[in-house]
Amino acid sequence: MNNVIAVIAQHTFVEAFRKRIFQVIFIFSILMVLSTQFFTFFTFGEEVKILKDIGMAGITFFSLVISLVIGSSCIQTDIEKKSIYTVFSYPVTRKKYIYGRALGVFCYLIFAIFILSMVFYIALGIKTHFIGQKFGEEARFSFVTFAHNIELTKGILLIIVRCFIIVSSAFLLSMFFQQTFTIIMCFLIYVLGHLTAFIANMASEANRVFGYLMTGFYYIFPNLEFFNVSDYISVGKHVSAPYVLLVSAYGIIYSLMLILVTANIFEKKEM
Amino acid sequence: MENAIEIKALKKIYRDFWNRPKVTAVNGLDLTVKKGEIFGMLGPNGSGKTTVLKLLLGLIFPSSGSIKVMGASPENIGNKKNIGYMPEESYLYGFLNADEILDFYGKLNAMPEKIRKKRINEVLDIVGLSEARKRRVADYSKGMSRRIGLAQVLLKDPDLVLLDEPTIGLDPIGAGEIKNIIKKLKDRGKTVLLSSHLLAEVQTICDRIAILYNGKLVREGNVDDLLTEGNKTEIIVSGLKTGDIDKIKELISGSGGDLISVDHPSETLESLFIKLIREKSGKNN
Ligand SMILES: Nc1ncnc2c1ncn2[C@@H]1O[C@H](COP(=O)(O)OP(=O)(O)O)[C@@H](O)[C@H]1O
Ligand SMILES: [Mg+2]
Repeated sequence: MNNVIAVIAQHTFVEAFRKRIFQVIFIFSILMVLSTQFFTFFTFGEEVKILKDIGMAGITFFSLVISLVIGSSCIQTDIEKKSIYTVFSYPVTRKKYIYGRALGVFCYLIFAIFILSMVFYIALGIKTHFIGQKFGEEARFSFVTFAHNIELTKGILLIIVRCFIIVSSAFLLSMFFQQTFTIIMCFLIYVLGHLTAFIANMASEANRVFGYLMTGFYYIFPNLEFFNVSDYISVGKHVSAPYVLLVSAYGIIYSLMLILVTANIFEKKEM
Repeated sequence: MENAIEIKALKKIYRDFWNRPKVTAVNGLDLTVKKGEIFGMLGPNGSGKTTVLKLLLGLIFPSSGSIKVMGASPENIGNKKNIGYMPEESYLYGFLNADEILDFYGKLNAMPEKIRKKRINEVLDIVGLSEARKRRVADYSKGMSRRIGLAQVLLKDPDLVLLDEPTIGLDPIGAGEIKNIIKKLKDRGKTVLLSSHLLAEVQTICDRIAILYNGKLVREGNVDDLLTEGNKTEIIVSGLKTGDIDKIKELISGSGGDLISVDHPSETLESLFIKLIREKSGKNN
């Protein structure tokens, strides 16, 4: 495996995998997901809903924190610690470096969230089994969890794609700013990204200048609310496959564009 | 192509976030490094040595002037397989061990796996890190980190080697070993450009030097030419009797010479230190 992008991606993956702080956050998220084992509730429907909410909250928490930290640090610290100097004394183009970094981070996120989801599903399966027994609904157990898992998987897929957007926004910002500032800005993007409908609404009601500004925001900001289907799923509603595909495509194209822009800016960056 | 490096009228102005000029680190530098020589860039801290090396690697870009490295622009990627660089301090990936870090660099240089593994063993041996190869680099001492920096250059085995303060932070023995390695590079026909603020170091291994100050070239030339005072002669003798010294003095004044000093030479502290340690460790070389 001597492709430069793959080598840097693998390096990035190992770096994230071995980072103590990420391991701590990962274990914390697992505990959060598993904590549902100790809850008891009154009715079957309510119980399953809360289990799903907490599990999805654990995965969302993990994905957001890791994306913010890794996206803002993985290029920035390489430059700050000057370890990047040696890398660029090798035949590595600056663009390939950025693509490798992005690929590595994406793979790590997919891997970590996959593990987390498996833990979640198993916990959910065990719990629903016992709840089912309690309410005399054993027969429904396997079918119910399986159906749940398909919907949950769609939600988790969208969480992963949303991570890509956050990471690539952080990459772009880290071309200009230090880590702390990048994290704050990215968190703002995350929050505002979930309020785009609200922003559009403001744009239509505001005066002209402010209205243009808001409309601009609406189009530039990633519309993260598209990815937020957890609430929908937890009440047992169905998310259509075309919707998942369409929104995933939107997210992937959006983050690829950001990475292309980042790579082009990085070409001219002094280190 | 005669020259490994050609720098002409090079100027580098560092700018701040708002693109306002901050520091002129290199100011109209002309420098040529010939193939096969050890060239030393000498200068106090802040004189622009690291900046020149970063420009040669294309990490930063010139404000004006031109640079040719191995006949091409520093941004030429194809050339980089053939240029090795050891940074001023070894900024390493602490989460990897020595084996893994060299493997990473070997892969970046597109070395096939078989050759990579074999060469990694060899260079770890040369820099004396074979036993520590499975330990995380984060736990390495400063000297060990520098050795990794050097191992990485040797692994690559390039024709042009750029070393930024290669012996800084090392004890005299470690520094001596590094100097030996540098001399061996030259014996194998490699070109070496090193920077240093240590005069003695540059004096002992470099063929030619340039003295930089405030980003400008102050002096350039052959080390021997720069240091030899042509009309003076030093005679070192052992077992001389006091009376004989007077006879020699007479002889000198008789032949019209001017006696400047009669001294008992002292060793430099560095050479004394190295000698004593070598004796203790029973190592001779
Ligand atoms: N990234 C930078 N931004 C601004 N000034 C810098 C930067 N790097 C170095 N300098 C300044 O440029 C001058 C030369 O620095 P440097 O090349 O590191 O010198 P040397 O390696 O000879 O000690 C110094 O005054 C230093 O403060
Ligand atoms: Mg320096």
